Amino acid sequence: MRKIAFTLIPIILSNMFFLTGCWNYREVDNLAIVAGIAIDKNKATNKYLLTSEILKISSGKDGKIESEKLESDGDTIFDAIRNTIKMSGQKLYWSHAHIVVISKDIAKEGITPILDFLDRQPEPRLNLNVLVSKAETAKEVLMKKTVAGEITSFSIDKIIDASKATAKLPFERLYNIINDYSSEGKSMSLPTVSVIKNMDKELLDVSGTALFNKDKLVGFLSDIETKPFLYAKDELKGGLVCFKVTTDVGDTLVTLEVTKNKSKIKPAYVNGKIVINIDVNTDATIVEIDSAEDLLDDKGIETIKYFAQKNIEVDIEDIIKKVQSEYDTDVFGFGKLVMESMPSHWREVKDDWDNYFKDLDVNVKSKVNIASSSDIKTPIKVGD
Amino acid sequence: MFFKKKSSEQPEKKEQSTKDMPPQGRLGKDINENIKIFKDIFKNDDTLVIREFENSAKDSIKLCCLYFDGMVNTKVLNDDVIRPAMYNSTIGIDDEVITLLQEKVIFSNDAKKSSEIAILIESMLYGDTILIAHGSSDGLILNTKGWLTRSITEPEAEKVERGPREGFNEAILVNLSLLRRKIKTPNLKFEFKTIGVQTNTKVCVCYIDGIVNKSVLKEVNDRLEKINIDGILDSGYITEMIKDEPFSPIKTVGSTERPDVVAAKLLEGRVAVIVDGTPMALTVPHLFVEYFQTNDDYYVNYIFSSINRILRILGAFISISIPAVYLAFVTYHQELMPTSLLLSVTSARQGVPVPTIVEEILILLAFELLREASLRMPSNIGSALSIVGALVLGQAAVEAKLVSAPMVIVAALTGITGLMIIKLKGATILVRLILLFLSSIVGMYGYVFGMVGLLIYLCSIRSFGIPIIQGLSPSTPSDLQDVGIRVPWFNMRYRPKFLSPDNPIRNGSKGDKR
Repeated sequence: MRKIAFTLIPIILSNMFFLTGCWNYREVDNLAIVAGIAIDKNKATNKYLLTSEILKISSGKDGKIESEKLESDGDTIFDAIRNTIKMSGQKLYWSHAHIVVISKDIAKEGITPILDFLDRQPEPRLNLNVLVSKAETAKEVLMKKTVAGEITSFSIDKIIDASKATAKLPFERLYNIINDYSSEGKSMSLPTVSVIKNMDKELLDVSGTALFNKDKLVGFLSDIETKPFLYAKDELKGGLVCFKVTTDVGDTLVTLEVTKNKSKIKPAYVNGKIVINIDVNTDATIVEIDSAEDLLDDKGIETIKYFAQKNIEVDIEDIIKKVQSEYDTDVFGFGKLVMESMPSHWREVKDDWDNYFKDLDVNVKSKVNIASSSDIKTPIKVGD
Repeated sequence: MFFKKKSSEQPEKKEQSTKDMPPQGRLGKDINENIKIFKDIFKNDDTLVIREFENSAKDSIKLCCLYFDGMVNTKVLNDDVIRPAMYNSTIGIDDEVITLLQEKVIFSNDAKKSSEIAILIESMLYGDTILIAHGSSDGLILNTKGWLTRSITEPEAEKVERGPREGFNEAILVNLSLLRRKIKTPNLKFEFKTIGVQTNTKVCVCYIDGIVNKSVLKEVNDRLEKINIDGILDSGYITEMIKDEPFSPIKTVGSTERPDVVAAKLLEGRVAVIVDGTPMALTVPHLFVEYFQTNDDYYVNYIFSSINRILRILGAFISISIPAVYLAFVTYHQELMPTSLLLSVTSARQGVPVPTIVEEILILLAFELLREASLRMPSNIGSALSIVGALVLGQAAVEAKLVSAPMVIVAALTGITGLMIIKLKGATILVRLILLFLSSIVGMYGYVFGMVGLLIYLCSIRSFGIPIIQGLSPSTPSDLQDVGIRVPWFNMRYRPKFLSPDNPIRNGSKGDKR
């Protein structure tokens, strides 16, 4: 193992110098650095409407970085991008773009042109975040201020990074999306962004999932529904589990924080049918118990585990049912797993997978390990 | 132009050198004749002292001392040569007068007979006194050397944190005694040569018999024999005359002012060349890793010295790379920088009138100018320079938007790391500029190809038959014991094998066969 690492590290390091991408002389101060774009479509003219957020960097000691928005249109996306030169006087520089927001309407029509553009061009990075706007237009999203920082695109990127602790957003970067797009038996799912009202201000809410069938948007999952969706895809990195525990004394709410999760998703062939077994293995810590009762003895822990497992299982089953019945698109990638582990059975069903998926049996089994109860061993007691 | 001039002078020089040959012939029996010979040879030289006297015998003989003023210890000459000779009342005119003086009268510790004028003159020029007597065709060479030398001090350029504080001075015999005091073995050999048609400089080849690589020793002797020059004022002359790659900025001959360093190198099987009149001793072969080794690496804790040495290697790497890599990133590969870094560089570059490459060359030039100026400047006005350098070139230039702040940081980093290894300085400046140029035309590719080229070039250089990167490639663990990490002494069992093929074991338990 160590030997492999010792040979691999120098190779990777030396490749870092060789795989430097296209070279092209340009001074940094002549770049119009794009932070993010929003893509809409003008229904009347059937032209793409592009809103780009371009960084405006002022010099001086404070060196303030602000952003400026530009709007341009064109028959294709690249046409629209080139048309910004009319206003900016500089070619847009894409390598530091963080987000692309796609409007609902375009998503419903199909996002192939956008993915093709982003994949074909050398400048946009493959770890770009592609989001679907739940608001009327995508432009709206980019025009809003956020709490996280001056530049809307960078703030959205920050929110996406921080969302690992809430598990209310799928972590799909451009390279995943393109993989899903081109792979058999798996549909795309993109994060969504919406405009909400908070303290009388219009703010952005980055959460929830947009579900696609082929390249077309078919529906949304809310932020709460996204968590079990991530369990079922084995992409959960954190988040909370809140559930009710019923004991002899009464009901109480318990909150667990997930520290580690591993969902083993295995297709099986039972009685002439394909069945998907999901074993969810969760490590969690107790972060809140809304009761003065001491639940932390052995029996209490078992009770908490029992209810937590039930809660997770029910949630996952519900979300799978919902996707099967309402949207009928295999965003979980079950088909892909079948193809990988049982290619012969996959050949039988692959042409009719969408129908097959609708009635696919999924068994969910959850196992929760409670690692600790945070700082306290006994609950705080109400004094007399 | 330079070469042409040199070659056209060659025949003239040859002619001259026959004229400059030391006078041939032997002394005669008549003392007045002999004195006249010396007077003729040293015509117009007023430092020649001729002291004629007679002894106290009944039929006294005429004696004469010849020496150069300032070269001899007059007390020794008076008390131990002239006084006993004058008081002597037994020796009369005799063919054997000089032998008798040598054996029975003179107190000098070193007295040799010779009748050859050339040898007598050579000794005189080296600070000895010649005693001649009437009726004898021999002269007596008496060791009365007594000129003033600088005391043994710690070399300014090679200060150490821990270790011996003595350094070589300009007297070759003092230097050899410093070496002898460190290596007390009969195997330590000193072979003298005289180089320089006019200066007749003494050059000493030192090595430890049994450890030295014989082919290197032979090569050193051959190359020293071939030197034909009128004067050697510093060992630098010899370095350039015996170097493997005469036009390369990479050294193939090491130099040091410290006897402990020379002793350590002799113990590894190298050959040292010590030149009279200069404190700089030469050691060959000089490997590339020797740039990064300093003597206190071996005196302080091995962990600390390994860290220091790795820092030095890193410093050299940074010094040649940073300007080129920065340029490549800022003008070609903006996508390789983190976004926040790109933004701060962009912010700093706003309003700078010149392209990055010009900006970079200007500021590197400014640094080199400052460095050269501070080297030649009397120390009492040195503080003015630092004010000008720091304030005017650093702060004011950034505030006036002539250069960007990251560029000043790049220049400072380049400058400081460049001065870490002072012996590599010239090569660093050259390599840095070449890499900068390459990366200004094709970005990172240029830098990478430049580095590959540098590596190939280093592989091609040899120092006295030994490739200067020997030990690094191909390498075995025992070759790497003293490269990046200096292993503790008890683990440094072998000498570098290519330096000492006959006697590779440096330490072992006492029972080991050596």
